[in-house]
Amino acid sequence: MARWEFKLPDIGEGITEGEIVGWLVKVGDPVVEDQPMVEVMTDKATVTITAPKAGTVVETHGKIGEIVRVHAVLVVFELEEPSSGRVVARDRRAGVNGAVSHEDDGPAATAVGDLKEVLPGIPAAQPASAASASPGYFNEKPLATPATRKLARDMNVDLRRIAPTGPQGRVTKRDLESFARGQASAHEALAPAPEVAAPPAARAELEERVPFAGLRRKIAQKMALSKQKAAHYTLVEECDVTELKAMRARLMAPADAQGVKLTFLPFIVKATAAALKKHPMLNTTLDEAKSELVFRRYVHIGVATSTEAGLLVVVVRDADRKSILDIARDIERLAADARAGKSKVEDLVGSTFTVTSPGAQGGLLATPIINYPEVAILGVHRMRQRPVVKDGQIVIGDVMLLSLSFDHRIVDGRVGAAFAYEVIAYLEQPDRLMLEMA
Amino acid sequence: MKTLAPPLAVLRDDGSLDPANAPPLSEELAIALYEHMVLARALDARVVGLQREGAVTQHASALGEEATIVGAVAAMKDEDWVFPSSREAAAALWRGMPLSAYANHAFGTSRDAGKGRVAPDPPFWKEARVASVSQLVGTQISHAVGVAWAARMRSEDVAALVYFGEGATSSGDFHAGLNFAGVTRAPVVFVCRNNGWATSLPASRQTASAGFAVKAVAYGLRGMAVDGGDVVAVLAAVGEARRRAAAGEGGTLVEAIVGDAAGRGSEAADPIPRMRRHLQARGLWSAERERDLNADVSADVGAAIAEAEGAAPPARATMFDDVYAVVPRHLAEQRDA
Amino acid sequence: MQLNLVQALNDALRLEMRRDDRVVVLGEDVGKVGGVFRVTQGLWDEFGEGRVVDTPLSEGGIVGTAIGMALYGLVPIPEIQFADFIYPAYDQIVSELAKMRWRSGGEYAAKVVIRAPVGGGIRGGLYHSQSPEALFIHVAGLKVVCPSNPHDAKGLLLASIRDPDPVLFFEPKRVYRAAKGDVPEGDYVVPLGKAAVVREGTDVTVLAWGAMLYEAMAAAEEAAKEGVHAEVIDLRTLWPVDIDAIVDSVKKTGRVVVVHEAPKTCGFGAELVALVNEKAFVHLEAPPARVCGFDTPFPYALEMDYLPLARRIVPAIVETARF
Repeated sequence: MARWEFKLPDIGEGITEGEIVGWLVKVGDPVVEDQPMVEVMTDKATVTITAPKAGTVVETHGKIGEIVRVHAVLVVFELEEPSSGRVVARDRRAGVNGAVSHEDDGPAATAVGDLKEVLPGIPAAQPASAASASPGYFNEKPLATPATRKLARDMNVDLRRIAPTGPQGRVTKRDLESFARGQASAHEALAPAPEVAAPPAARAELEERVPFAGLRRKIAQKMALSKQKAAHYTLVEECDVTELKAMRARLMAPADAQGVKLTFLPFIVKATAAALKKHPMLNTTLDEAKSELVFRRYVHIGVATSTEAGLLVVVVRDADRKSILDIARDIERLAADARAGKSKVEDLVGSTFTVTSPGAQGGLLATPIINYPEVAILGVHRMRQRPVVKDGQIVIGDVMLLSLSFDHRIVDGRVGAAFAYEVIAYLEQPDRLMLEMA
Repeated sequence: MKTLAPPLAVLRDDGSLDPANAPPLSEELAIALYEHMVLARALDARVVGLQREGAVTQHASALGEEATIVGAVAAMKDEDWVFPSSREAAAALWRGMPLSAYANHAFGTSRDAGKGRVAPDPPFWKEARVASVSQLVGTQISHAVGVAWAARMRSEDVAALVYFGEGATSSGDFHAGLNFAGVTRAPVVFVCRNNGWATSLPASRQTASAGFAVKAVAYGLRGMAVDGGDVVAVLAAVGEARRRAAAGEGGTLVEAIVGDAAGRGSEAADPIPRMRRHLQARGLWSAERERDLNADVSADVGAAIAEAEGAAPPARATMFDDVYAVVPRHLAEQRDA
Repeated sequence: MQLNLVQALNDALRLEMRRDDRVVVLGEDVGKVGGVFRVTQGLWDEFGEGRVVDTPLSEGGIVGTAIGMALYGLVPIPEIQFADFIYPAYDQIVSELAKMRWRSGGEYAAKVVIRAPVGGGIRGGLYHSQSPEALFIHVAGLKVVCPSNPHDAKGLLLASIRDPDPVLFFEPKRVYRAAKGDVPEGDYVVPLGKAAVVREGTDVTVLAWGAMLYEAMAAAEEAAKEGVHAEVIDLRTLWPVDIDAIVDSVKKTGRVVVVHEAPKTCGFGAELVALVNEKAFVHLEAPPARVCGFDTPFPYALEMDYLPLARRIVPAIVETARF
C-alpha cells in the first residue's frame, strides 16, 4: 500500500488559496476514482474536488472554514494498488493535480508496455486541453449565440463556467439562467453597482470615505441578492405571550442552576423548529439549476445576531432535536463567539430557516429580508402589555407581533399563514412544546 | 488626312478673310475671340506649370486648340447648352465663368462650385449652361443629344454643343449619341477636335474611315471638316450647323482639324497669331494693345491662382452632401461616426 | 379597383403623365405596342410620340439621352426591356446618372427613373431572368426599388418619379400578371425607404422582395405547420433600406433569413446580413441565413432549381428557428 499525498491544485484564474467549506470524506473512508472529496470555496467559486485515484483516506488537512494554500496537502491516501501505468497516464491528463510528481508515482513500466514520458516529435509539455486546464471551466472558448453572450455580460457571468446543454455544445440562455440561480445560492458577487461620484475637492472634507469591504460587503451582497431573487411577502400577526412569560419565569431559576440564562429566544426557536416539522415547505430551498425544490429533513435555525462588524446569522443545528436548554446554550455561545469575532465557519453556514429578533427597538412590526436561499424568515418583535379581550372582558395581556416574510415563489400565502399560526399556537400554549422534545 | 471635302478655311495667311466663306464678323466679336484665345492660352500655360509643380494633379492642355474651342462656343446662342470634354475650360470662360471659379475648381477648394470633388478638368458653369461632365471619354455626347432632343420635344429654340476629341469617336457613346441625334433630328452640334492623337495613338489607329466628318453620313447627319486653327472658320462652320439645327434639319458633326493633324508647321497653324494678323489687317490691334492684353491676362490669371491657393479645402462633412438630395441615414451615420 | 401589377404600373405612369407634362417615357417598343410586357400600353395613344418615345435599340443611348433630358428639366422614365439588357447602360448609370448631383456640388441633377423587369420564373432563360439589384445598390447616388404587389407598385412608382434622386425601379416580371390586388384610384404614394411587415411572427425574420416575397410567404405558412412563426418583411425599397424595420424585427425574433433571386455572393443579402450583424448582433440567436440564387449564371432549363422557392426557404426558416 503506497502512501500518496493529494495537494490543492492550482485551479487557475490566479487563485492562490481556498476556503474549505465541506468535507465529503473522512479519515478511514475508502474512495473510488472521481469520488467527490472536499468542497473548496475560492474568490470565484465553490469547487468540488474529486479523488484522482482510488484508495483509503488516511489524513485530511484543514477544517471547515480554514484557508488552504494552493499546493498544500489536502488529503493523504493509502493507494489501493501500486501505481500503475494507467494511473500515471491519468495523472498526466489530470495535470490539475499539480502536486503529483513523477517520483511519487514510481516506475512507469506496466503490463501493457513501457509508456515513454517523452517521444521525439512530441513536445514534452503538451498544452493542456481546454477542459483539463481549468477546473471549473467547461470550455475555455464557450460556444453561445451573440444574444446569450450579451445576457451573460449583463449578468456578469463567465460563460466558461457553465455546463452547455444546447445543440453543438452551445451554452443556451436556459443554461445561463440556471447557472445564475445556482450562483446566487452560492453567494456570488452581484454585478458592481454604479459608482458614486466623488465630491468636489471643496466638499471632500464634508465626507469621509471608508472601504466597503469584509462583512459589510458580504451582507450587502446577500441582502441585495435576496431582494433580487425572492418574491418577498410579509405576514404580520399578533401573539399572546402571557403564558409564555409565566412559563419562562418558572423555568429561569432551574436554568440558572445549570448555568444558562433563559431568554424568550430559545422558546421561539424551539416553536419555530417544531412548526417547521409540520410545515416543511418553509424549510425548503430551491435548486434553480436543477429546477428542484429541496426538502430538508434537518432543521438548522439561523439566529440573526448583531455584532460590531454587522449582522451575522449564527446557526443552531438540529434545533428540532434539541431541548430548550440546549438551544439556549447554543445561542449564548454562538452569540458570544460572533460578537467576539471568533465564530467558526460551521456556526455561520447551513441554516435552513432564520429567526430575527430586533429586540426592544425593533418597532411594532417589520418586513424581514429572507436569508437567501432559505425561503422564509421570522421576525420577533417587542413584547408589551396591551389591553386584550379575553372571555368578553378587557384585560391586560402580554402581546407580541410576529412578522413572517416568505418567498412567495415557493410558499403560497395559505401555507405561510398556516406555519405562522402554528408558531403562534406553540407560543401561546408553550406547554405544547413539551410534546416536541426529541 | 483625307476628308470628304477640303476643310473649311476662312483666315488667310495675310489676315484677310476668304470672302466666299466669311461669316459676318463684327469688330467686337473679332477682338473678343482673340482676347479669349489669349486668355485661354495663358491660363492653360499656367496650369500646365502648376501640374508640373504637383500643385494640381491633372490637366489636359488645349495648346493650339483655342480657336476650335472659342470659335465653336462663340457660334452658339446664349441659351444653348455646352458640353465640354476635358480641354474646354475656355468655353466656360467664354460663357462668363470667372477665372477664380476655374482656379478654385483646379485646386479643389471649398470655394469650388463642385466642392472639390472632381479632378481639375473640366469645369462646369451652371449659370450659363456649361454642363458637368465626367472624365470618361464620350459619355457626354448622348447627354447633349438628350438636352437637344428635350428642347425639340418642348419646341424651344435651344440647341446643344458638344466637344470631344477624335478618340471619343471610337466609343459606344459616340455611336449611340449620333445615332439618336440622327433618328430624333435633335438640334445638336458635335465638334470633334482632331489633333491627330488620342494620348499615344494616332488618328489612323482610331479609324480607318476617311477622316471623322464622314462618319456623320451613316447617321443621317451632316458632316463637315474645318481648319481648327482658324477661329473664323470654326465660327462659320458651327454657326451654320446651329442655324440648320434650329431649322429642324438635325445635327452636324464638325471635325476641327488642329495641330499635327492640320499638317502645317506649328507657327503657321497657331490660331493666335493668325487671328492677330486679322485684327491688325482690320486696324483693330496694336503692339501697345497686345502688351496691355498680355499684362492684364497675366495679372488676372495670377490673381485667380493666388486666391485659390489660399482657399481652404472643403470640410470633411461636405463629402456626404449631394450624393442624394437629402443625406440618407446610412450616409449620416458614416459622416457622423 | 382590382388590378394586376402591370395595370397598376400603367395607371401610375398615366396618372403622373397627366399631372406633370415634364414626364416622358422612352425605350424600346414602349410606344405604339406599349412595351413587351404592356406596362406602357395606351400611353402613346393618349400622350403622343412626343412623350412616349420608341428609341433605337441602345440602352446606353436610352439612358444617356435620358440624362440629357433630365438636365434640361424633363422627368424621363426610360424602360429597359429586361434588366438583363441594362449592362450597356451601366456606365451611363454608374458614372453619369448616379454622380451628377455630387460631382456638380449639387448644382445639376438628373432625375431619371429607370424601369426594368427583373427576375426569373418565366422560362426566359439566361438573358431574360437576371436580378442585378446589388450592382446598383452598391453605387452611391442611386435609389433602388422593387415592389411586390399592385398597390405598392403604383404608390412606389409615383413616389419614385417625384423623388429628387435617380431611381432604379425593378419590376418582378414573374408576378406581373399573377399579383393582383386592390389598387386605390387616383393619386397616392408609398414612401420610399419604408418596408412593410406583411406577416407577423415571433421566431424568425424573413426579408424578401419582389416575386420572392410570395415564396417567402408560402414558406412561412409551411413553417408555421412545424410550429415556427416567421415574420415576413417586404423591403419594397431596397436602397436606402428600411434598417429600422429590419432591426426592430430581428430584435424581436433574434433570427433572420434573407431571400433573393440574385446570386448569393455579394448579393444584397450579404449587405443585409452585415447590417443585421452591425445593428442587432447582441440580439442574434442564430447565424443569419441566406436563401438565394446560386453563384452560377441563370439557367434556362433548370430555373426552378435555381430560384429560391419556398421548398428551399422552409428548411432555412425552420433550421434557423431551431438553431
